[in-house]
Amino acid sequence: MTPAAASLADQIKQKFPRAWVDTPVEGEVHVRVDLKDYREFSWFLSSKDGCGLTYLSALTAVDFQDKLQLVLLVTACQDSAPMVEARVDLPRDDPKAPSVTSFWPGANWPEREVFDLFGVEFDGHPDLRTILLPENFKGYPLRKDFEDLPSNEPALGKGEGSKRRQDANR
Amino acid sequence: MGIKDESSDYLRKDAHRLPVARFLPGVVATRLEDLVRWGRRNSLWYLLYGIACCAIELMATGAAHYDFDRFGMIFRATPRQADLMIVAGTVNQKMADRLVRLYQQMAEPRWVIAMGACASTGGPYHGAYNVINGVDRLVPVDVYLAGCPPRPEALIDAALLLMEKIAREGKDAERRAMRIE
Repeated sequence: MTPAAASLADQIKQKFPRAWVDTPVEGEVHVRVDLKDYREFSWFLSSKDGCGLTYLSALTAVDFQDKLQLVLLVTACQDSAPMVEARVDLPRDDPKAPSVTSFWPGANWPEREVFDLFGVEFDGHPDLRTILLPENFKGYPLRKDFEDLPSNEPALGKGEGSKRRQDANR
Repeated sequence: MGIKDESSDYLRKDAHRLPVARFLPGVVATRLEDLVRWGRRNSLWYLLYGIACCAIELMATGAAHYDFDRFGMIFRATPRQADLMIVAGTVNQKMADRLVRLYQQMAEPRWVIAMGACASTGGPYHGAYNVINGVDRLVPVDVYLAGCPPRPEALIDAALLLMEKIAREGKDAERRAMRIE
């Protein structure tokens, strides 16, 4: 049985005093988690001993130009389950976050997508390779400062791509 | 206008017919080139290459109601048996390598129809970071087909256009040669 939104917010406040918690809409909890608490917070949300929110609805990221932000939507497959929107700030240069695939196996491909489009590295991810873009693609296209090649010519196996992406695919 | 334009002779809509001369009952004569063209244009087996929503229209065209088979167009699941590649959808950077490889695996002669806005120019995704602005940047295209997506009638029209093109293949050169002599 999953807790109601209000009691869930109280639990999160007690357990993670650094987190910013709000319940702007009924049935929803908005949380901003510190990167240091991210792994423990994910365990707390997902595990049966914690909240039992076993369904990761979405995992994506936003570029705020001064920082990157991971966004997670977490709920459970019950009508009464609250929806948790968790946001984690990451530094924009060399962004790294712990992988949550061990808590929600469904995070595997979304994390690869965020790696591909935003360049966030996930520590502990079982298979961190590109998923949408070719291996030799240069840059991270959903970052605000991404500049496309003016010609937009097909790369066709040419070009070096970013070092980080190549290392991941090696 | 009363003046018959010779150049439109082979653009007639019965391009699927084999030009023959009848000498005796039960005997017809034709030229080998015409026979080959006739065979090619009436058995355009196409590669199943649906990569976006245009593929839905391609499937509808192949299904019973529009019945692509009546033009001799039968889908093939392997490029080695296909004469025609109908690129039905958006081609992105990752698909570009695969598309070229599939095209190279097709036996010659081979033709390409760029179906829809995306395959022709990139369409609504023109200039996006991961989209090829038209499949003609990768392989030669014989027929461009407008629409987003085109209806099955439009695809059939494109196929008929391609058949006409095959019917007049090499004929311009023949004409020129005859005039010089």
